[in-house]
Amino acid sequence: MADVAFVAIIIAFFGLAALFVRFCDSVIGADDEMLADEPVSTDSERLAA
Amino acid sequence: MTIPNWLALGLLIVAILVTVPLLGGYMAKVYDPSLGKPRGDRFFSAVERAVYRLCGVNAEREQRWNVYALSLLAFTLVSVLVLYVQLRVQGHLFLNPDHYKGIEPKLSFNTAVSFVTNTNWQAYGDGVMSHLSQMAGLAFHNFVSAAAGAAVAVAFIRGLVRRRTRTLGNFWVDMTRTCTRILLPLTFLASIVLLSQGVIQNFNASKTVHTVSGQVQSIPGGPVASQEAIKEGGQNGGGFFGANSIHPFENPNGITTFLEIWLELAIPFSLTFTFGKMARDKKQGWVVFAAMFVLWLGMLLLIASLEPTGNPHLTAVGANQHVTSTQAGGNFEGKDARIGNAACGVFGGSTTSTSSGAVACQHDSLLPLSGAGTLVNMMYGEISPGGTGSGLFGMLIFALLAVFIAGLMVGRTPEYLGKKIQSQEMKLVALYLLLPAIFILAFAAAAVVIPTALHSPANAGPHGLSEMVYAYTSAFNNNGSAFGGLAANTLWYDTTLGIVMLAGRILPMIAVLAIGGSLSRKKFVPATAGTFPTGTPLFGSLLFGVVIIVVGLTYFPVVSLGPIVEHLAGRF
Repeated sequence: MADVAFVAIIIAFFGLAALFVRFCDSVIGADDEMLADEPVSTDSERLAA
Repeated sequence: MTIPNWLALGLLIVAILVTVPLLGGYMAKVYDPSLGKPRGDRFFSAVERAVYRLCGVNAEREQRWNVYALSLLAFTLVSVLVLYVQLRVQGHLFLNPDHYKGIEPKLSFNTAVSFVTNTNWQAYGDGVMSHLSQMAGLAFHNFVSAAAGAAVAVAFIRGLVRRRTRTLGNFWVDMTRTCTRILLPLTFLASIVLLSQGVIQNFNASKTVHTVSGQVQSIPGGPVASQEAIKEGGQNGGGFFGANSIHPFENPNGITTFLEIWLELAIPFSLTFTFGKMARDKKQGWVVFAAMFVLWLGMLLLIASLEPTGNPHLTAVGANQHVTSTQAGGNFEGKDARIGNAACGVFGGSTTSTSSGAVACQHDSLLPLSGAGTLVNMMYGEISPGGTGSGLFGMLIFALLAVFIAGLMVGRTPEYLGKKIQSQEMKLVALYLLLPAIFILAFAAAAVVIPTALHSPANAGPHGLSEMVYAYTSAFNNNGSAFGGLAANTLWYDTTLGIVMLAGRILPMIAVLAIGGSLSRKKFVPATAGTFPTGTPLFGSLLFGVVIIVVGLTYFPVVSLGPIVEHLAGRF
């Protein structure tokens, strides 16, 4: 019985960890948006920002 | 500290400064073939090709960050389950000359998690593990858990330095190359030196002997030297014996003490140079090195200078605690005359700052402020210099926070290595920094109010609180050293510490890989007059300050209630 409980804890943790991977992926957003060409700002714009 | 102590410390620092560019430069070539072929490439490539073929790994295929993270998860899950089963059934397996039985479920869970997560917290004592469990179970994971940490760090560096790409490398390739090209050669050489100094290496059963005073003593055997080398070299810390590096079969003399401390520090410090090389800007690596070095040396000097002064309460009652021809002097409870007070301080300061967790004296017996030093070293998050890989990526997370704070001060979008640091990265950095506080303080607080947990500390009052907080801090940061005094092999501690070890290893690594994945997609922004330079002493000072402030704000209350109250109350 104890064996089942500890194996269940291990598998449950890794299930949650896999969900955490999905959560982090949603935080950083999709690749396509980031990899799309962005206009390069000039030095003066960057300094003003 | 005596003059020989200062000379030994100076020699250690020189050894580190020589090691960092040599080993760091070699590791950079291992992880980044564009920097040139590392030594022994033909031989190691042949070995690795065989490993990839055996495991079905396509070494040419790179992984997006989430696939890299899922590979890490899959490897860790299978490792924990297999080691759990191995420990449960060890009584039916071979290489068990002392006929040890299978280990009970709660202790198997705790130990399996502990070694797979590179923590090596040992809730078991001597006379428990068969030689097979030690070698094929624990020592094997000493290698691969360290390699997994290095793999995550390298993936993170790639995220920082690559431009407009989705991938961070291949987890299986990075882990394999770390084992074959770095850990195995380094630990093989170290094992030979340890053997030459008297560390044992055999498959013998324990022998019962009668001492000259008529007592009965059990002399253990086992493959200790090979395990000792990776125990220190991979910042694992799990000793073959319960006494760890205080045991003369693990650490017989001053030479082995020096070698073990150097092994603890070599790879984590050298990875800063690897980072600088891979970033094509060595100054970046040296700045990270400097911040780590100052944190390490500062705490080490505190502990190593306090312990030889002795316990003031013993001085008050007339005890002589000076160094004489017949005594080592200082606060000598929990220490070994072979190792001495100052070396205990250097070892203790290094082992708690490197995620090693090996011990050469009992931390529970340190003076309260020295004990606080070991605790705070772990509370930094094992970044000074931390574990294999985990130290570097931990410090780089603080570097991202430092550039963000600097950006807030001047109202500019922060940049690091030519990458804009934006909200998505900072959310994950904040999560990374909050996770330890949540797990350590929440579980320690629960232990303080749950009667079952309160039976375990050997001491009441602030020292008892320190014992509990130390255990959860050690577990989350994957250090593995024990303060001592805490009876940890109970259902509560085996289970909760196991969960905290898993959380402390896996969740921060996922966040780090996600940040790396996010940064790898970004374009390079050329430095301008308004860019805050991160390869300067000024940035190193800011980095140091950010670490101190964040850790201080997070943990000062609990450190106050533990060792600081103990010191002020004079109850030690």
